[in-house]
Amino acid sequence: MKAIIWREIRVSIQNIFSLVSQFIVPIFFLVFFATIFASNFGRLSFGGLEVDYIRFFAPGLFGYVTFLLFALSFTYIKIDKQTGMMAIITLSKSSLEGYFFGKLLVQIFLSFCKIIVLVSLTIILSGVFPTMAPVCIVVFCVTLTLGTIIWFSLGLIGGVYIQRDDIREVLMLLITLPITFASSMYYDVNKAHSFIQNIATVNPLTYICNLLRGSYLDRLPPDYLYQLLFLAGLSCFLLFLGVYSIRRVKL
Amino acid sequence: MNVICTNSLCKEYHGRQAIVSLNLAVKAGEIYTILGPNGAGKSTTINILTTLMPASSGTATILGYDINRDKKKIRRNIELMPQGPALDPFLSVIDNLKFYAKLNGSMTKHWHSRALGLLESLELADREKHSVMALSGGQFRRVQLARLLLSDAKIVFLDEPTLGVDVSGKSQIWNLLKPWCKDNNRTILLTTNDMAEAEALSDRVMFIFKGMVHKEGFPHELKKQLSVNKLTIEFNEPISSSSVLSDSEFEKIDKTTISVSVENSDHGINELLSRIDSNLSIKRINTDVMTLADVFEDLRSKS
Repeated sequence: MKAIIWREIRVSIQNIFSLVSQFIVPIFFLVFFATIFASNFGRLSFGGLEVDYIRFFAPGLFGYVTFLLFALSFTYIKIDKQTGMMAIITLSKSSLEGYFFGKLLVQIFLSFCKIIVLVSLTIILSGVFPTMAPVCIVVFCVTLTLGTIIWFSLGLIGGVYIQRDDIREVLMLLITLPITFASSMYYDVNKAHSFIQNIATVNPLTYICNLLRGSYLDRLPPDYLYQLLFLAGLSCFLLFLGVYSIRRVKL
Repeated sequence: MNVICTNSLCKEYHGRQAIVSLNLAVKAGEIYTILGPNGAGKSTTINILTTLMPASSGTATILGYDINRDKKKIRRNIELMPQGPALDPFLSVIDNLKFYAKLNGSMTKHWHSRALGLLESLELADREKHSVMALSGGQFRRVQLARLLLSDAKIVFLDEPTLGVDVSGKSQIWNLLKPWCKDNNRTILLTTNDMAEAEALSDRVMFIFKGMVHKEGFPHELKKQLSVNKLTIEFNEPISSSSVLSDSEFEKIDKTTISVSVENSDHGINELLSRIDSNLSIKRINTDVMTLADVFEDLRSKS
């Protein structure tokens, strides 16, 4: 697994444009989208707290950062399969399970790096420093980790089973908008149409954004433990499914 | 001692037999080549023997380990150069080599100087820090080869190792591969449809067509067993087609010389000579040097 972690870090350094783009997309979202909406919407109410749209939207964006890993891991796993890298790793002293967990660990580390940058930018743009209770800090970090596990694993499973590029493109197109809009990423999904709320109930991004927002604004939802348990259960299931899939990958 | 053994190995894909009852025995330190046209089952054989693909039936052992039961033990002792790139497109040449060394736990104190020396001998020293995406097809193959040459694997599987490499690049690879195998007592199983490559490298060869073994043995013996022989007959005077043999039997090289295929026996040669116009005087008869390509063509015509 050490070799895989080393490779992921080297690839990130040598392929700096890809790394920068992973940071730039959410930064642009925050700088352009959130600031424009903040000047139009005024303040929003969240858990009895009046917040501007930048502070309201930023935690949704943290959740979105984890969601972006879905497409990223999907693509990288497909490349490793096509180039024969997976076959070489299988024949080495490492293993495909090591490959899975090595890549995941690096992505968890990178998720935290991205969030540090985004939190700093949110503080600059909103002028408010987040005051988080210790339990909120723990929930924030655990949610971020679980979100990374969920979307990374889903992308990996997709990359293992879906070979064709055109199917991948269609899939990305079909799921990106429903997943992001039928969640609490941009707005309070409880105020949305009941049809959207039903979709949001089964959408992991809803829980990820709820928990990140609640902990970032120091207003955890009353059922935060259940939401956390749901994410933890889903993460365990997807980790299991990810290991199962990678062991059965056609090399 | 046989380090690779197969017994009635079969592979079936969607009702089509890719390999039919393959029996193979490769000795330690040997370079063994599986020759055959595209789709003959060469890569399938390699994938099964490297434990990347299960066989439909039959058994095989690598260094005495069973390919189904002892996958991990086999994988620790083998190395594969697949047809695909098998290099990380986002890493530099030296980082790709480092990654494989780390994967296999073979990073030693002297690894870096060894790697640089090898890149030098493969004329890749100036490409050390370049991304592998910037390499030509031949350079790409040489980086893959460098990865193999740096490994400690006892058995190396090469799936068409010089595919897409130019002539000088090929001979450069052959010149490195053969001494490396012999000096370090490594065993190589390679597949190719390049007869010159098989000729340059192989201790023994096997010809397969449509998954079936047609011939196996030492190259010089296989050439002797050819059912036809090629003769070049030079006459003292210019010849006309009608005075020699029927048109389909020979190929005219120049005014006085013809090339002719004849059954590989004394009787065949005598019979051919008796049919040539007795008024023509023969200056010289040469037996052409037969190659594995001739053996391949001979087998293909029969199959």
